[in-house]
Amino acid sequence: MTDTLYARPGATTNTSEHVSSLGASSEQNPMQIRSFSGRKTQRVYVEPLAALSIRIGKLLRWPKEWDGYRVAPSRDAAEHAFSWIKSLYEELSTRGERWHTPNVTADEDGDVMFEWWNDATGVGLTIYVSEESATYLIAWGTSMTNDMEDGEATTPENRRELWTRLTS
Amino acid sequence: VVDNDHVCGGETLYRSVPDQEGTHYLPISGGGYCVSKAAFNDRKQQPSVDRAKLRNHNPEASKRSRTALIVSFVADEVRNIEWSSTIDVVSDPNPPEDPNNDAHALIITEQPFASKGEFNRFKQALAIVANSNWEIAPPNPA
Repeated sequence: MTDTLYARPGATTNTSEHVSSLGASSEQNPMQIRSFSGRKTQRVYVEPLAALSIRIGKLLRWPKEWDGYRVAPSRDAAEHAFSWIKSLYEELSTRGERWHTPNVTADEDGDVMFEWWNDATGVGLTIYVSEESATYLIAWGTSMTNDMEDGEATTPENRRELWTRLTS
Repeated sequence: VVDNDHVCGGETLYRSVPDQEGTHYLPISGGGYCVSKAAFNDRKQQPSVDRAKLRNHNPEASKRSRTALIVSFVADEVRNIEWSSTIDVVSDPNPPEDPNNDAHALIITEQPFASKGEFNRFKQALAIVANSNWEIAPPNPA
């Protein structure tokens, strides 16, 4: 594992984690870790980028072969995914915008997925990151033809537009 | 005579979801959880479900692992997902990977997905249809 993926908690930023409608988990960024006794777990606050690094890293411990529900992404895909989400986090921080913690998972091809769901508007945003690409799917209903849109999500401009559509 | 080969429109379907918060379901602000589209990952692009009536409406029987969770939806909700190809739910009892499961069924499409993006849309639609319909919910509601 590289230092890039397992980033240590960084300097504090202006990016708040407290939100009202983008999921309870966004209000803080608790991680379940083992206490020193090795018997109990407790929730502790972890810096967002460090938490994301850990959660992406955990995907690498998924099965190497498809088990009916999941398969581990490649290391390159995981590192690209961390780079992508780190860019988003830093761009939001620079603009002073609120951070919302995503669901971090992977699809059947081993692409890393970041998912956000806005309860208030019913808009869902998913980013799929492979070794070489980053694409988005934004949805506001069940119609596959009228309520969804997908495309490339590689540039800062892409990220900014998608974040605006998710949060507004 | 009951035709167990045909999945009726009003039939309830169960989908087993791994109990992994933050990867297969996520908290929502009003409390509770919504299911991730990752819960419908499928290599064959034909997600498996169980027909509730053939499980005696016991979702425990459809758990794929001891800690699994279950979401439910109705067959016609799936068939009514708007797309250019017909979406259906068909009986598929006792498949090789689940040979003792009479209740097994598949969510299929008349035409195969032309791209990965289309299947992603399909999983998104399924996740919305199943949203919050927990038969067996995560253990610690948000």
